[in-house]
Amino acid sequence: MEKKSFTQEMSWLHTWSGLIFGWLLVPIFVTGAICVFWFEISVWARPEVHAMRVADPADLMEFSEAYLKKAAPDSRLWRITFPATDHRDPILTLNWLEPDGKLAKRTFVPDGSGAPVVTSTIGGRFFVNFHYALNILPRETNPVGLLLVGLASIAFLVGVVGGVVVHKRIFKDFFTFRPKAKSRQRTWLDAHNVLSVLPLPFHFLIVFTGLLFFCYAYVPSGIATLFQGSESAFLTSAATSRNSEYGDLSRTEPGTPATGMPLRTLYDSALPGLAPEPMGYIVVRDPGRNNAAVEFFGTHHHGIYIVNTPRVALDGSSGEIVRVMQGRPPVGTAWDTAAGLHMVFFGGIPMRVLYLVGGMAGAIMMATGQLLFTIKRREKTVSPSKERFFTVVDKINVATIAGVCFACVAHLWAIRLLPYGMADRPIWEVRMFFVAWALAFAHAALRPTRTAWTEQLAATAMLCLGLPVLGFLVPHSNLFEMIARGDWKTAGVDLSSVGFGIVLAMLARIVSGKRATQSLHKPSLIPA
Amino acid sequence: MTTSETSNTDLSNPELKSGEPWGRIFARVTAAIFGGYALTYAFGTAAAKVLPLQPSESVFLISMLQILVYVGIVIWVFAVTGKKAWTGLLVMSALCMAVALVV
Amino acid sequence: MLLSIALLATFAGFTAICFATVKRQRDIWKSPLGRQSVLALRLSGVLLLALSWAACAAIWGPGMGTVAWVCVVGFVPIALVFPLAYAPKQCAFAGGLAGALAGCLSLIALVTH
Repeated sequence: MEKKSFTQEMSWLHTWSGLIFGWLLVPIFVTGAICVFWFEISVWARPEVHAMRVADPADLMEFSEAYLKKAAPDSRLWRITFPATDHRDPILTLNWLEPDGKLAKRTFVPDGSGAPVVTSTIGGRFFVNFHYALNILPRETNPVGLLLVGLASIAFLVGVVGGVVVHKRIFKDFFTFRPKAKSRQRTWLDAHNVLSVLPLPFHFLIVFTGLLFFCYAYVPSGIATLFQGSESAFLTSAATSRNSEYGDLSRTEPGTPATGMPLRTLYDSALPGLAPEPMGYIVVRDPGRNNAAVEFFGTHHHGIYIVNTPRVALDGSSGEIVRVMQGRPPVGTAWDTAAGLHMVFFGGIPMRVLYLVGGMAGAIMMATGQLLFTIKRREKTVSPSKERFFTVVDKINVATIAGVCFACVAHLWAIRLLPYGMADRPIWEVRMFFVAWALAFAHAALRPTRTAWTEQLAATAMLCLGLPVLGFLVPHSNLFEMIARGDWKTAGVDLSSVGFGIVLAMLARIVSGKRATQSLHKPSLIPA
Repeated sequence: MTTSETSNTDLSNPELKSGEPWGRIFARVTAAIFGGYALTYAFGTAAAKVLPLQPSESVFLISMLQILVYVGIVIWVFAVTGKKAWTGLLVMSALCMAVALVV
Repeated sequence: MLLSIALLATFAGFTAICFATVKRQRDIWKSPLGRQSVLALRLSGVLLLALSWAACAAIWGPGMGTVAWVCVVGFVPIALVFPLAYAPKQCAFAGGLAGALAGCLSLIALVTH
């Protein structure tokens, strides 16, 4: 047994890294699939912005400038983020740099009335934070979460390669699913293959672009060598997102006070340069000074990019256009395309639904692999010590597959139910996710495996089905009202929840063994 | 059902590596994760010195390549025997660092 | 409507490709099909997948459309493979129906455009 074949090595790697990292990857895929609709959930969580008219950026600009002049006349940096015209993120956000270097933030409803957004909530953002860093933040000071997710993603790519090596007749067997096979292992293996093979290009794409997204932060040797280890210097040099050189404070000293051009006027001259995108956000450096620089950024909804948006920089005092930027150098563009492919800001709701389905299917694919681990091994005679190990594996499987779904819905329940005036409300919303997940682990540990599966799936299904009911307790969030006023994006959160609830309820019923017995010709697909 | 029950993969083979000592598994996993990280880092440092692109472009290109390099290293570590893996990682890291220092 | 063309055509295309294999033909016919019928099935499968790409490209343009198509082609067949094990005949019928529907809808889309 000294030298094993490459296939055997890959098989071992596929099995074990699949099992161990699957426990991380299933939650990452589930939250990732949900956070495709991150903005929609954020709106859903804030009743006061439901179905509100979104004013034109031109009108919001005057209000924003007046507000910032009053609130932060001496700040070196302002940022105005306009509500997206497609209602995706209908909030007006004003930021400014405080003297102590912190970024202040105020949010307003999008109709131009200047009323603040009052609901204090994390919205859909938690799913993002968990998806890319397991909510271990900020990643700049504590990169453990980011690195773990990165490592799990590498394990996924290695697992894909291993899976292809191990499974030689990959496409020939694609249409094979044998529910009546003598061994349960065979049925699960077929299911695992079916869920892996054709979706492989999409899953590879999603994991690879996910890794590319923070590629510079995982192994920061390039930044260490070329930018003295300063990530922000690199981002500014790459002119990504808000890190444009025109907003770089280190390049200039604040000038003397001067009356610059109003933003409204600058906007009119900047707008043609932003096409085809509408207005996204504005960064103003040294406002009210003679060296003021104003940069207008388009949104990122009309192409596969996230930071490669069109942008126009103007001199704040003369109003002259300093630079119109469309596009970046080739490698930066390649990175941006990859990031865009991962974030799906493009293509509208249908594209995002496809991604949601893709993410969930990926989670299910890995879940079948996790289950296969013990199912396969139990078909042989098993020593008591191995049996103990398999039991532990089964219990972790329950908590990381069904349990994480339970925790996600529990988090949404917390967003609806926690009192609106509560201090630290967003923090408690997130805590409820982890409390629910811990409960799922405890429950899985205490109950027999099959019962634990059934009960956790059923509990998740009930929470999903109950979510729209909670909308009746909160203003403007009644499902029927939302549908009646045509607010499908917000209603969609509740409706998808019902959809997931129905699927999970069916799964719970199948797992419980009450229905499966006759149709599958064997006691149950899940070990008791 | 016409297909034989054991047709489509090797995963149904008898338990692979059941006799594998934990020490060797540990050596391999650490070689893949930490040794792989070190070599990837060294590779990035060398590439950063060598690539004639503007700095931000260099960083993007290096970072993207590093992902492929890391995946390659992990697979390679598991494809060769344990000692060879560690030796190979050390030699290649040293080479990369030498390039980084000389250029 | 274009998206439903893409989904239906993918389903139909994979049904055709699937029933071009001897193993699957035994599930519904007594003897395997002749060479020409198999070729016809394969060809129609490929054409239907091409139609599904065209529909995606018509919605999103070739670049984004291809991303969507990769997604559709990855996941729609799952809805075919699992039922196939339980009810092959009905699946073949559903595939044919989906193909016909996709064809009709494409014609309507072409005419109205």
